[in-house]
Amino acid sequence: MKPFYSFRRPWTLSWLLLLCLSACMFDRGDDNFVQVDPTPHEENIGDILYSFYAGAYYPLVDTLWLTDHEYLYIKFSNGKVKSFEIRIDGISSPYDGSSRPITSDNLAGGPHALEITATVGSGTTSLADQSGLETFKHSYHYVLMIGKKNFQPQITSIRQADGTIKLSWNKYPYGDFQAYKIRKADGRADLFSPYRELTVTDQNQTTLEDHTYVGGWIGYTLVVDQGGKFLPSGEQLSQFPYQPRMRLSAENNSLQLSWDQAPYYKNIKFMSASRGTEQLAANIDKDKLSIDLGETAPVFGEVADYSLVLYADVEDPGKIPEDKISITTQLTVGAPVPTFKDVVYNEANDVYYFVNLQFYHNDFPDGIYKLDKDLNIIDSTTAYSAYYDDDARLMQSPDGIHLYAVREYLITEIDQSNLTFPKYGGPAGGFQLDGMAASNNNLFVYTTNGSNANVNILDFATGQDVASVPSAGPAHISPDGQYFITGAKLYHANGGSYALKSTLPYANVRYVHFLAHEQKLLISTDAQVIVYDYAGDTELTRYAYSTGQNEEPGFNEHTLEYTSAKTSFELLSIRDGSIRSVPIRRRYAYPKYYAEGNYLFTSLQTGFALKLH
Amino acid sequence: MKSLVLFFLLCLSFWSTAQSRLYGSVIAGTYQMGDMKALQRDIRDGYIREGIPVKSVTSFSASLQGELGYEIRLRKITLGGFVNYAMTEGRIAYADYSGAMAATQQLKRVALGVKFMRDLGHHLHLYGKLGVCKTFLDIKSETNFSTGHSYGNGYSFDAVGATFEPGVEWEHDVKRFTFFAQAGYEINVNGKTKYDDNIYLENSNNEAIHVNWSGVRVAIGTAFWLRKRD
Repeated sequence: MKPFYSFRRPWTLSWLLLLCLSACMFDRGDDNFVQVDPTPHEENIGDILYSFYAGAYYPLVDTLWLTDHEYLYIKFSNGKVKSFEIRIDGISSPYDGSSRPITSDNLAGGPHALEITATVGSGTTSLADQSGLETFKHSYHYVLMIGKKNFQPQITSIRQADGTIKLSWNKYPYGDFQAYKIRKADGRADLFSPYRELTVTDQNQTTLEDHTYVGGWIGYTLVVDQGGKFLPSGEQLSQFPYQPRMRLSAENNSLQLSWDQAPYYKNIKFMSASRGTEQLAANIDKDKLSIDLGETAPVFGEVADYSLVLYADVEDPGKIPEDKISITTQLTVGAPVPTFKDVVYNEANDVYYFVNLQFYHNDFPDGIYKLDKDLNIIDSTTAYSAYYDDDARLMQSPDGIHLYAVREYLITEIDQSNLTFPKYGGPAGGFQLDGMAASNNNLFVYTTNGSNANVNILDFATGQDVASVPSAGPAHISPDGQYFITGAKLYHANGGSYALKSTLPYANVRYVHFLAHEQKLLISTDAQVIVYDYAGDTELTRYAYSTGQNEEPGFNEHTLEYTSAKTSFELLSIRDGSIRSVPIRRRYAYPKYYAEGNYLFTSLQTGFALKLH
Repeated sequence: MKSLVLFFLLCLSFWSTAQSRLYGSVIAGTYQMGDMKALQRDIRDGYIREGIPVKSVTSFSASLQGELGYEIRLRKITLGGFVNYAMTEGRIAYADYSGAMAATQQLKRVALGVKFMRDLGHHLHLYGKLGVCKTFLDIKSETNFSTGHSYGNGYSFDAVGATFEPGVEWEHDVKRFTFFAQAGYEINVNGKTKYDDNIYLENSNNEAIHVNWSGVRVAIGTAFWLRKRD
């Protein structure tokens, strides 16, 4: 019997071939089964945002507040939320995500439980997830408060410290906090002016350093962002003055412009300096306090407008005008000092007193200033006023014990220890300020105004005149009060009054001055300066020195130098007749120059002092 | 009428003297299906864009065809007719724990034609098949989720074409049976793949998509002679 199968049988071979072909032909491949992690992705839960009146949306933190007639909308972001349901106090809300917002209607005041249950796509990337059929539910729990809040934002302090400006405010206590926004703008501008907004998102942070302030009046307003609702404080106006005390000095034959560091120096990105319209330097490092102009120094009193511009350290400069502050000062060589109308040097205490009265531009408040020997202000008072700005004059007794000022046509004594005014007195009516002088024993010489001017001696203790003679020229009184002179006429005390002692042989007298510590009288005429022994009635010395009629001469008791300003300031030593000269810039009769102590002073928009060497 | 009668008598005499046989064969075929493969790629890319990383698991691979025929042998010439059935498919699929989806392009064809053979000696024959064919295309997608949800849809098309296959046949006779093997190449052209008289299948360039069964054919079969051979 032949076997059923045999390779020698053709049909067997055929069927084997058929089987092989079938096996190859009907391979339909696998089903592309992919291993996918079925764990739902929690990040698909997303963030809940809310918005009042369907405006800007904000993250929901823990509490929502609704007052009467307010409504809000909910939506999700950054997740795969397919739908959500809202329940208030366990009752499903008809909220549908757009047309029917959450309202306070039918809800009693106070807290309510707000539950939001979201249906979230699993995010597994499985077929069911991609088809939107694989989801999970996640519930969020919040508090919905119905009613008004008892809170008013308030900026509690604005102060300058540590090179910047520091603000503090009261903490917002509620859970719908989004941000504190501190708006700063020109405090004098209207509501539509550009403003800078500094944002603090940490509810517990109630202080901020404003690194954008570089000067000027700024109005600060604190606004609490409650998620689309903004609760503002009142505006707080602040200004932190910065007097850079710019000054010009000649260092190594090169003009230097220098200034004091700003109190809020950390806020400055860089600076620039200019003179008039000419820019002197740009991008000056904020820590630099001087620049070398590479020029020869101008003479004293030759002024120009110098400006220092501070640029705030902000990323968006120019958003508000206050990002850049320009400070302009008229400058000449010398140290800046307070603007003044009169200055005296008190040798006993080695201090300078300034009286300032300006009815126009003024970098310093009106008042009386006390400066040390290095011209640092060590005391000042603004309790000083006058009818006219020229009605300001300082006088001191030759021994330096008494200091006086003319105030509203009255002589007032100044307590040098505290710059108060313990006593008023003096003549009624007008009198000339020039030539007014005091003795060590409270006697004053003054000249009345008018064509029939008299020279009078006032006893400050009684307020009464003790003598009155026709004016013969400039007047002065001796330190002991026993002598006074007007023009060439020398008077001596005689009982309760004064009698003419002699008429000195000098014509065209321009200036008279009894020396404080010697029994000598300085008399200047149109061509000479004479030193006269008034007790012995003898001329001691005379020097050729011309004094014009309107040259405002003066005498520096500290250096014993007579001065009269011309195109250069010439100082004549009455010791040896030597003259030293300081170049000055003189424009007509203004400004006036004063040689007091160790300095030559003049007053422009700022006062200046040039040390005399 | 006379000529018809004369033609019938001639055929009868021819039939009475000729050897005839019935045959059946199984054919392994490969297919070009360029347009169908492009369509499959388009469908696959569409799913991938939707985030479902499908893969082509079958792309109109080789398949078995079946063929039946009748032949008359006249000395060294053999004439006959045949009917052929073929099918193949393209399939993209994806599955994971949550369910499975698949999109298939299933193709079936019926061809009807005439066959000519010339004896070359040594049991070898040169043959040629010429016929017309109709192709049926079913495009289906189906998604089944483990939760029990499922959905799917499908569309059916057809196309009419012509086919020509030259090749070589080797035969071995055993009594009244002849076992044979063939090798050839089918050249196939089809008209538009129509959904109905007005709608036909297009690609994204608005070009008509054609079915193309062209490819290598290798077959084995058995023929049964209707009369005992001399």
